[in-house]
Amino acid sequence: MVEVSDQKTPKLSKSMSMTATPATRVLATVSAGASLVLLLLALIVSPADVVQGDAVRMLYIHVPSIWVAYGSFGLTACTSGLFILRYKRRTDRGRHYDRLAGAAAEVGVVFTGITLFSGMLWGKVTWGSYWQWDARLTTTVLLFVTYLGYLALRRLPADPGVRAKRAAIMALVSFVNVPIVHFSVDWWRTLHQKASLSIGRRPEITGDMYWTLMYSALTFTFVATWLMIHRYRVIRLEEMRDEEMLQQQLRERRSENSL
Amino acid sequence: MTNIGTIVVGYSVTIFSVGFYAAWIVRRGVLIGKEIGIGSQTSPTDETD
Amino acid sequence: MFHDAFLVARKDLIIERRAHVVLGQVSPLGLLILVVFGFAFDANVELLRLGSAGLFWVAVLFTGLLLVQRTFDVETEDGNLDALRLSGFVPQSIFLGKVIGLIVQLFLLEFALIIGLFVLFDVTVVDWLLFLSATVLGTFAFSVCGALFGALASGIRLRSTLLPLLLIPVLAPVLLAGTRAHEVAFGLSSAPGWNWTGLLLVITAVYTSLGLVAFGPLLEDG
Repeated sequence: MVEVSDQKTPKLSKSMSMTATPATRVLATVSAGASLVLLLLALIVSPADVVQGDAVRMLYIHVPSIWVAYGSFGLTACTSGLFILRYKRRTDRGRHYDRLAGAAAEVGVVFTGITLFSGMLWGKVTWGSYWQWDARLTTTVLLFVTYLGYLALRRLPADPGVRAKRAAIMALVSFVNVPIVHFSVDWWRTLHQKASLSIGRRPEITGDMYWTLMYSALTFTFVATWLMIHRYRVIRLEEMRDEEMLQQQLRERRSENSL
Repeated sequence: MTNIGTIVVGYSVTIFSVGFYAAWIVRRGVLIGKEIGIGSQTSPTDETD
Repeated sequence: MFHDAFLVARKDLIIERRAHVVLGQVSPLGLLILVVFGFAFDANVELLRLGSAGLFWVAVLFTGLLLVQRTFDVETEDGNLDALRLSGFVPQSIFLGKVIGLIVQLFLLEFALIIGLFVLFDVTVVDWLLFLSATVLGTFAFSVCGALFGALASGIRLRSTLLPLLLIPVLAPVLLAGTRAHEVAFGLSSAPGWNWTGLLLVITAVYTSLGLVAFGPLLEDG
């Protein structure tokens, strides 16, 4: 028995089900190419630092990662706000804001993880320890956990509309919370520090290193955008699948009742 | 940990993580696409991702 | 709005008075946590005294989470907010009512914990005004954050594991500020304790506003 597809379900061509389109293929190629050039620049062309030596190369990953993460979480906050304003339950309009919020948050979490990991490695070499209780690091950990929680909230079994709205509220509240956390921890550690204030401070970056850093930021942005677009589409597919499962169950129930 | 060693580990893990995530997304898209593409007579698969 | 809030709070407190959960279960649990800290620190009296402010707030955190959970679980068996929604109360009243109910229960809990602190950790209070202010404002901050996130996580399965994960990052500044203020009040540090107390006030204000705004959409469709 062949089902007539629901009007909302778009025609599924092979490329659609694999979430790729000509545009994203171009983006993928650009990202891949840019990444290779980045590796060249970061690992070979750019100079080692006078003080830190080759450890400075870690920053070409560490700094752009957190920039991408901040951008992603900012996007999550904006789209969450738009969702709350624009979502209409009856017509399911505005769902795309929710999807983008989720995709952006997940990408943000991945890059926050990369930030923490690369930062810890860098810290081990430069400070001698994996961890410092300064504002940036502590806030970043809490940021990571906050959005892990957000992603967990998004996965809860609940009515999609309810879940989406709660996730949106949480995203907005979290966005307010992060500066508060940063301020609190910063104040705490500033009060605590008696001696060297250079702990946790990154060096001034100039010349070739600066441009490598900027280029890295660009590359990371390409990659993150590609990831976000595809993640968004997969979320869309997941919703379609869930909707279809629901229809299936309703049909079964109806046919049971009619027996 | 040596400087060079740190860089090797750091870059490798980063590249692997991003690559793995990208592959996961694409694979998930393909799998779910197949699920829907097949249509409604199949019972919902118990796919854990 | 405030009258309705008091009605909501009164309802919760009457339920509590009959069930005796705070006095009978959660406070003893809090004291137990303090004892366990004794085990954890190998009964090192000096260490326990130095860390007493932090340990107090950690105990408040974990028992307070249970209270937050409960304040929404009492609505119906699966904690959904239908009854509240149909009550005709404005969402803001419900929010404030939940906050007030939580504050009262937390005060009861903290009273027991503070006695435990004096007895088990050999704490002395140097600045009573600071101590009480920080405790009160910290409780206010805890309650508003708890009410907001408790509602966010209510009525859905897996909420008991989700709520702590969502709430603790939000409570981090509260715990930080509360601990620093108490340390000063116990004479253990010379930081600006009143500034930390001020931060607790700011956090309370910010999250009260957020809660008042968010409860409308939260309660809308369920």
